[in-house]
Amino acid sequence: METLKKDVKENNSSKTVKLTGAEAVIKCLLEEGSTLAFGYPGGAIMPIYDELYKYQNQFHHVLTRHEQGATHAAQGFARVTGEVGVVFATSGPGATNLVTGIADAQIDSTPLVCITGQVASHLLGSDAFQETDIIGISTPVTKWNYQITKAIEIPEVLAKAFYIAKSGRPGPVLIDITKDAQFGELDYSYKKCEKVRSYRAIPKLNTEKVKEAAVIINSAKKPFIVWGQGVIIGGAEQEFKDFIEKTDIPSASTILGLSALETNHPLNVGMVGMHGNYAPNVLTNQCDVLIAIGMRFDDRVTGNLATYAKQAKVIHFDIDPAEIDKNVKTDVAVLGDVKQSLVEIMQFVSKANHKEWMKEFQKLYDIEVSSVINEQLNPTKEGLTMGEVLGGINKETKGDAVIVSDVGQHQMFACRYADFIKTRSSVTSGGLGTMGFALPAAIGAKIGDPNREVIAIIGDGGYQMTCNELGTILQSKAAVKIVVLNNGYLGMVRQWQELFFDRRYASTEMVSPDFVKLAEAYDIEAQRVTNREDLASAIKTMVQSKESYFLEVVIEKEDNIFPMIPTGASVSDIRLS
Amino acid sequence: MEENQNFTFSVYTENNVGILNRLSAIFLKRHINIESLTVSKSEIEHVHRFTFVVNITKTQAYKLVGQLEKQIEVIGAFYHTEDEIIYHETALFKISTEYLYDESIQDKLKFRRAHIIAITERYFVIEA
Repeated sequence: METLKKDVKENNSSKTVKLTGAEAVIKCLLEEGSTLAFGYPGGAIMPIYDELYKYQNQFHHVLTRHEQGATHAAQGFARVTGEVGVVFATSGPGATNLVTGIADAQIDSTPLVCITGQVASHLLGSDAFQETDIIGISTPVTKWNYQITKAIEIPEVLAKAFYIAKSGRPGPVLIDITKDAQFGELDYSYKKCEKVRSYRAIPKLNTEKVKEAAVIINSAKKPFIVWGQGVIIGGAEQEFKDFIEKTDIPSASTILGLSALETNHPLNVGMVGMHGNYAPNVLTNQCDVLIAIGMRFDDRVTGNLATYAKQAKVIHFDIDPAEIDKNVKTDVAVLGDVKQSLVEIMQFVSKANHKEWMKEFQKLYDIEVSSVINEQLNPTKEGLTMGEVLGGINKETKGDAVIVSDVGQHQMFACRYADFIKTRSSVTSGGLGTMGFALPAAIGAKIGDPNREVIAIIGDGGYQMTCNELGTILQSKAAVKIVVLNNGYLGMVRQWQELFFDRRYASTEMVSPDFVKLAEAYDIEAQRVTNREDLASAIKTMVQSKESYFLEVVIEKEDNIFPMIPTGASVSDIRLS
Repeated sequence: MEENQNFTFSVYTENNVGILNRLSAIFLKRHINIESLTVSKSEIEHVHRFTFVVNITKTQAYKLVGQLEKQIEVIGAFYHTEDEIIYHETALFKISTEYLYDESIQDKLKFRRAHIIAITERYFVIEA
């Protein structure tokens, strides 16, 4: 590393102490303000775990039951706290088990630093026991990765890892440390990284572009905003609210942008996307100006690109230059930190009133209420619906809980129906769609912000992918509330089979164990609800519990999630049934 | 439909282990075949240059350069069409010295502006 060598020399001139590489790793984490990691020990990372033992009063380690669980827990931690999630794993299978969580963090822009042990450097390439090329494997799914083979490299590389993980558009970084580098000694001193010469974290804001955008916004008759997680990552929730209130623009969220603006804000018109709300999807194709803020025009948001907002001028605020014109061609791109961009544009936009345009949203919302929402929240049929469970949770939590959802139908119900009054309250696997995400992510979220109520909403399928993490709850005492919405099917796939494969339910019917007994085996109080009259009190008991609680709700077997934009259809062809 | 054409990408990077893997993965993810690849030192100290030639559309080239530039250790990435670059090919031929006076070799030396750049008892080398 050419740039590294130079800086290491500089470091040597300041005050140093002699340490082993393993101890230096812990020291570096503490320097970065990180006092917690999720992980799983093994041969090649034992020197670091030995230091964790020595530093246990300063640094806390949460033992998960699988390395994948450690990455998702670190993601949950990072998403609610805004800090970097730290993961430890050993070489070989320990490292490869991280890959799903790392890929999830990459596509959902979550800052992680994953530290893996590696066989001793003289064994590299010898197919040694538990040797795997984790650098090669993780390259396409990391923001940056690096293999350390000498103890001396540790402080600078870890400083760089934290800087890269959390700056600009955040993402996962993997640092692979050979066992000899962990055992080796170095003259330790730490200097935080503030710059990497080949990396520009935040593009420079161009005021001319801001002015151009403002001119278009000021002359718009039917402007529409779609915001994404960028608003949350950029800590720009207040600036965003100021902006939409001044310009009076109806605004919809992507799945990852949820909770940046409170659900009941008058300008919040819901969620866009495949199972989003009716009005924002339909009116995407009627607005005259589409303003995208910290979002990336995922295909689940846009439907068929050839018919997406073709009538509108598009303004795109983003921190990542590679997102501009990637999927949707923009008229004006405002690159930069979203908070700064929104502050800047406030001085150029004029106060506006779009009440008539807003009525269009209300009209379509009323249609959605009568044709979909009513039946979900207040069902007339006998079977329990996923929507009414969310409605019941809202009543108990008043929107003040972190809702962690897994992947599938229940996720869409959770994202559509959960109320949010605070930012960083919705944690879900959006981009990668990782089943099994929610339980470990909820553990990480609860440990990250123990004062908040954390409720995981999970399907019977996803739950069985990572329910081994109940052991982590047992050991860490993380008071996570778990709601399994059990319809006996892999519901989302079954719905597609029903709609597009003539009801050929290939391998989607799922036989499950007694979930209540399973939770009880882990010393978690548990309850199963099969009747509507028991639901409200069960949710109340769960929310009031000071400890972890498991609630299984047996749901109508063939309940479907609507509205829906079928794959390849236009957003305005969203189906209500 | 946009037509495919050859694009030459010049990517300037730090000189670190693993960058080739990171860059080639970007092509792989998009199912783009690399027609040719050269890695060398650049005119700037400690900066290396990757030269990729790929046959893709202009839209793809635009997006690809964004993804290449986004990599932490990439200092700059550029793409050029065929008509924007000067292309020159040089070949070295190692030939047994017994053919030194062969007529066809003599012809090549005369008419193709080839010249001998090394000669030993066993072989000689022509640059053409």
